[in-house]
Amino acid sequence: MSEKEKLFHMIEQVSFGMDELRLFLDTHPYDANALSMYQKLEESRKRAVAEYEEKYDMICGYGVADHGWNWNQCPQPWM
Amino acid sequence: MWSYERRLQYPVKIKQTNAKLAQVIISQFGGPDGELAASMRYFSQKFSMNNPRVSGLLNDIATEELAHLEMVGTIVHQLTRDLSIEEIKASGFDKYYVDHTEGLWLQSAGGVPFTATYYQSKGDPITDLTEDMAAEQKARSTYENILRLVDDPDILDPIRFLRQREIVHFQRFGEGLRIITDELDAKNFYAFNMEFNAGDPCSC
Repeated sequence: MSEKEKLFHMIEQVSFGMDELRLFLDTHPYDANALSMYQKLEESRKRAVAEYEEKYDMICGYGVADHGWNWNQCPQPWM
Repeated sequence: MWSYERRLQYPVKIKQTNAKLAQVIISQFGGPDGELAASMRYFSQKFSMNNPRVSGLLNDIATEELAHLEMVGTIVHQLTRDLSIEEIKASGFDKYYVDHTEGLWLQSAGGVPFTATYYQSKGDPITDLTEDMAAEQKARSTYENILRLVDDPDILDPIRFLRQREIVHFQRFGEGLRIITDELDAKNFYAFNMEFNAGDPCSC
């Protein structure tokens, strides 16, 4: 796996962890462990996305566009 | 509102086309227990759901179901891209191909177009959450049927992921139902529908 693929894969995994915790916290809003896990993942994700967007392509719709407009560039994730 | 991220929730990388399987898996795209039915069910219900926490849960799960819809669409697309005419004829995919070529269209495996009659949004919290729990079980059963028909590990992997998520959603909706019933009149859960004439939902 290239460095780009590794970082992208890490973003996929951390984001999924947050998806799972988001739903759990929706029904367990006072669970301190879950909240602290969420906060740790959020910090990792923030750093990873910032690095990915700075080096490679936009991931988020409100992301950084410093490498020209590569938002609708090949390959799209569904292709 | 929605924001898009240029990734799938879970990767889909299918190397071998299979038009026969695509015709089956398309049921989770536009079929009765598929991802769009799920998303639109929860999304529709969120507006009248009085309890803001449960309303938020409906919105969050509806959002995830759209991501799943995207995954299923990707699976069907990767199974049907660049088919030869021989493959199209041999697999029975010709009936779909004539109307849609290799495009994705919201229908069940049997060719029934998607309809809002696949779900209910009843405006009653107990009814809606019970409907939602049933929906997640229907989706799980459907994914299990699909898994029995598939051998290719590239397809098994994302389908197993999608099946697991249905089980987790069922769990969350069950908790949502408990949150709702905890708020109701303990002597009679059916004494009144809290979504109707209940006053300001955000005075909690």
